[in-house]
Amino acid sequence: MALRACLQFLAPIALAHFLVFLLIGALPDPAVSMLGVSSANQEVLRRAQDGSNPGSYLSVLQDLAQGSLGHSLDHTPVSDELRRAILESAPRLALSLALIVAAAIMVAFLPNCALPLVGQLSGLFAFLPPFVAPFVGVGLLLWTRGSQRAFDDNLWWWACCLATAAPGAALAASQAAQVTLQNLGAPFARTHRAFGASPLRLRVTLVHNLTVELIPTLEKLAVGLLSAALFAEPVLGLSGLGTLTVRAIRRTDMAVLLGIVLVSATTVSLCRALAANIRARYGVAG
Amino acid sequence: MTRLLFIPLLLLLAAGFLEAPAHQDTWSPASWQHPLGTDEFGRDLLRVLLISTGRSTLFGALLSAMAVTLATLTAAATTLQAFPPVAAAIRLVTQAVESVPIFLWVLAAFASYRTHSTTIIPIAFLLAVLPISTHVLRGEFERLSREPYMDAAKLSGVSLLRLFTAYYLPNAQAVLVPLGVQLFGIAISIRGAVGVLGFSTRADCDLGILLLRGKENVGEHPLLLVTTVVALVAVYGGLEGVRRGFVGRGG
Repeated sequence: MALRACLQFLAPIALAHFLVFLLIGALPDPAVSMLGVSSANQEVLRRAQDGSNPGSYLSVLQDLAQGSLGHSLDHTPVSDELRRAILESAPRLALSLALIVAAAIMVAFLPNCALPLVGQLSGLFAFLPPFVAPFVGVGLLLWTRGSQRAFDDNLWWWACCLATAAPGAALAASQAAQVTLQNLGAPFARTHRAFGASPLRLRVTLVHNLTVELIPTLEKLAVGLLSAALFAEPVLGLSGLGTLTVRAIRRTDMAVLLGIVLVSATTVSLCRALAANIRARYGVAG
Repeated sequence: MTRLLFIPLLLLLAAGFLEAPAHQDTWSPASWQHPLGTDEFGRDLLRVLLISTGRSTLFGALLSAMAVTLATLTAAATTLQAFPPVAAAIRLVTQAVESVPIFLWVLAAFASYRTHSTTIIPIAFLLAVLPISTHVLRGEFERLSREPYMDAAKLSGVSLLRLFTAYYLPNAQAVLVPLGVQLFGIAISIRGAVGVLGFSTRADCDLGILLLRGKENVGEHPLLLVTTVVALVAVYGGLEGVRRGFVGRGG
């Protein structure tokens, strides 16, 4: 049982890692396509890349087995780069997650008449690309104050949190509105009211049901947060996982990209396992 | 009402084939000739915005149509010829692909082969969305295959092709269309993401690069950012309207 759970947790991570390696490795290097395929150029490229980009997938796996994620194009250990980026991004991501949870809970306590409208508006906002929120935020800030230099770092930090949280909060709010509306019309809610539960007490009870209903979204929220950070951090000029990803893409730094994929896949798999665990505890089938 | 939303979408698709010639004046104010003024290259801003929205919409429409077609065929093939390991493999690949943001998949491929971005972005997009879309459609097809009318059709000797075109496809519309619209939105945002992160040329007619230029010039020329955001909201609002229409119809 434990082995099966372990395999279910690790298999998507390993496969995602392998698929990204395959995707990047199967494609010719941009420099090769620009310089041509003459042997002299190939030799120059090989020397330039020696020790930076991983060779075969077997060597990547050997490095992983030894606890190493390889080296970036700057010859810095990828684990160091990732650690720095995670330390920068983690507080913002944690705060964003808290904002998302707060948004869902707030929606759960809205008056009945407001729920359909909130559900529709937040549904539209959740459908918008994750890069819209940072641009709206930065646009508003710069428009009202005129220059980027007029703000201290804290303001950008908070703006980044809000921009990262916005798409996830919209998704959570949209689902919270739909689920709350359904739950309010459900037989158990009517029974609760018949037993004399106050509207507030009923809503508090329904928050438990809402939690169980929204838990499968945890995985999507994790992906959403990482996607939002991918745009919010570079757009707002802050360092972190998103900025590191964009830098790795710009430089075709395969080792860093594979490291980021590992972080992302592990985070999402953890959320998936956590969601399954919570639902099992509530007796809901996966 | 849902069908009415297709008319502006079709007009936008047509706008994608227009060109935006440059004039002498850069950042000229709004006038009768240029209702939103001109941009930093001296092009009519309204025209640039329409072309960018049209091209993004066209790109999204083509990619989502390809993705839905491929996913439908794969889902149908694996459902009609039931083979349990295939279902397990699709589920595993779906989980693996969903573990990484779709933007990362596409941009990672783009990083390796950016000189041929027009080919590689669609391929990477299709590879990234195909397992998830197939998984969703397989679920719907499996649900439909348990319906009594499907058993009746099979017992009356209906061919597999007829079963697929006359029974599965029409009844799966409530899932197919919202899925297509969802993919449409993702495809538009993929193209935008490439522009937003500064991977395309500044003069490109693309909503992502317009957002980036809008942010850079928001102090002096806020109209560019505001109109681009409005265009994005309008396109996604229309798509969301279509999606809700079909979800509502599906019950």
